[in-house]
Amino acid sequence: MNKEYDLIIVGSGAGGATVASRLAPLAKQGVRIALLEAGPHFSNRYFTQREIEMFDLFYDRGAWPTADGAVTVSFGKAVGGSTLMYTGVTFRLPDDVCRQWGVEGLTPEDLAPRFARLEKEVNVMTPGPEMVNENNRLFRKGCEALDLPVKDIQLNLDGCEQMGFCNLGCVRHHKQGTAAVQVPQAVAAGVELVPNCEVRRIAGHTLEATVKSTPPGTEPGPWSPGEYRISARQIVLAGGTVGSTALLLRSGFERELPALGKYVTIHPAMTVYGIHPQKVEAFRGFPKVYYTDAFSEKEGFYLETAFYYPFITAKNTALWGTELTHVMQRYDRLMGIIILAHDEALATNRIRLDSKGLPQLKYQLSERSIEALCDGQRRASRIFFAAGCEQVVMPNARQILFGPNATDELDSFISPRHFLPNKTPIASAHLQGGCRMGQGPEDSVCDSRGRVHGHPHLFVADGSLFPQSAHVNPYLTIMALADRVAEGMVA
Amino acid sequence: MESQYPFRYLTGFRLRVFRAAADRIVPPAEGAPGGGSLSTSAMVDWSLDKMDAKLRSKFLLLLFVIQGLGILFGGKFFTANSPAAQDRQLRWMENNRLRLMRLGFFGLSTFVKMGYYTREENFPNFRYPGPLFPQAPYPDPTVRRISQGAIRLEP
Ligand SMILES: Cc1cc2nc3c(=O)[nH]c(=O)nc-3n(C[C@H](O)[C@H](O)[C@H](O)COP(=O)(O)OP(=O)(O)OC[C@H]3O[C@@H](n4cnc5c(N)ncnc54)[C@H](O)[C@@H]3O)c2cc1C
Repeated sequence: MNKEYDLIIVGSGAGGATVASRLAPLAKQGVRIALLEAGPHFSNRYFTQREIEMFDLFYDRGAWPTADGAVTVSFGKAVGGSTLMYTGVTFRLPDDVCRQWGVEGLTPEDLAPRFARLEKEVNVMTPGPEMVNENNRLFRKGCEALDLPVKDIQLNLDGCEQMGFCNLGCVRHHKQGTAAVQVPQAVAAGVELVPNCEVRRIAGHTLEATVKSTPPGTEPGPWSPGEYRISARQIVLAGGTVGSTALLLRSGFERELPALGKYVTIHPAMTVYGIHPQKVEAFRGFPKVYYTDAFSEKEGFYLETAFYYPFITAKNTALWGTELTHVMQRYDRLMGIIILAHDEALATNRIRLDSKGLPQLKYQLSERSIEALCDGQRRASRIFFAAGCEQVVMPNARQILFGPNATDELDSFISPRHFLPNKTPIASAHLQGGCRMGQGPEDSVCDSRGRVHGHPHLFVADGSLFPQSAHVNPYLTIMALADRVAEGMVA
Repeated sequence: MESQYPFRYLTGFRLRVFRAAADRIVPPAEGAPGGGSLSTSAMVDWSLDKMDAKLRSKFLLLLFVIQGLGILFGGKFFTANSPAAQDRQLRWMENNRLRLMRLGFFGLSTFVKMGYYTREENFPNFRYPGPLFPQAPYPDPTVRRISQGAIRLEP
């Protein structure tokens, strides 16, 4: 089947939906715009707050491993992209990181008004005391006892009921992700939303796509299942680091753009736990309201409060046998902290295609990242004990489950010596890079406005644009970059 | 009790290996069943059906390898070895110099944890009150039935 549009946007996550909402006024003037999304359109009635069922929202059911299996990467495949199950933690790209990126025209001054506009659009707020659950209160207590600065995390919520199931989809759409805000705005203005539509290749102005049948319980789209050839005057790729990069690789762009797929960063993360003598019930209430950046500059990581559902918690502990049951029987007394490491952008960490044309992420944790994760575990242990915990769970300790006696020798007790890839559970939910911005085609894929070098009608507007790690949770920066891309297209 | 769950992948010796290993990874404790229950296996079997076929075959092959390697740790197949020998073997896999062996253990323990810790019948064992909207429907009722113990399980 053939279709014709003025503008096609591929992907409806943080980047794609921002472009769609920015360009939506053109749809009102008769410009034909379609937003193609590989994933289903889940309405919030679908969200059952059960881990095993809600893996449906994720690519590969949330368990996409890196090529060597050492890191589990999660991202969305749905209308709303990864904003459907993100937590809504909102950071502006730090000014110093923006300068380090060194992308011409991309300055803190350029980004600041975009951030301000977007923050208003998605209702970014500072959580009040009523949103501080026991896990967060204890984190603050622990940090303060150690004289560590504790900062409020900004969140994009509207009427949050603090149920605590953000990462399994918000039953009430209180989290202001793109499925709640930008996609409905764009659709209301006349942008056509096509779920279950996976774009396989691009050749010039033509996209080849497959529409699958609507999965039970999800909203149907306007196109019937089948193969489509869609021509468009302009194309915006916003499939995320994996989706956009794989699409360009499958379409043969690697030959002219040797940087394609390279310099991927992932914010390698570990979630660690402390066992408190009293009930914490961290699974209720908003999971994250505090963080400390005390170790960002020198040691290279952030510590944020965090909590997950039982299966992911059990997996994160790296324990099994009686130690696992010992910890999990105290699930309602667990405190949780996530360590987010800033990783370097290396050409060797890259998206490539396997023999079937499916994307793979070849990624190796650097010694620096491993050291940062170990240091994060030492710092988190001290915070847990200062908050009153009796025992902590640190996968890179000589003995994973230990009590406060070990604090005197933490430097040797928790060490890269005990780090074994494929044993230590490392996760990532912050994919960045792959179609990085830069000056020219030798070492980048797009210019600073997301235009693919040498292809004036083709743009990228998602997390793959990042030339290096953002250091902070990335969704707002992705939206700001997408806003720049849309602005450049209109100009 | 509703109809019977048809095991598709964890059958025969594979089911026996999985259950034996699962009972070591999540052992029974304080009256609570361990990971080796048939219901944990059913959750995993249901998930295997949703998995990429190549990965699924690798996982099923892993169970075969675990069974055979048992000879080195207790003189018998894994399922016939003592719990102590089974633990020795699993620990050997977990810390192995060969990445593939470690990956195998990580995959196995992840599946066991998923099967066990997502089952609603098990929630009280680890003091988890569960979802706030317990009645919210899910399009594939089978997994909910396994999770709630509302389907007959016979291998
Ligand atoms: C569990 C979780 C928690 C997170 N929490 C936070 C947080 O609190 N704060 C924060 O800043 N960030 C968070 N993130 C990260 C953040 O959500 C992502 O960085 C961001 O959404 C990425 O935006 P994107 O536009 O690059 O891609 P996505 O939002 O992932 O959207 C890409 C979309 O494109 C679609 N697509 C891909 N390829 C194709 C194709 N070929 N054809 C059609 N469609 C395609 C995909 O299905 C997907 O829906 C979290 C992520 C996860 C998974």
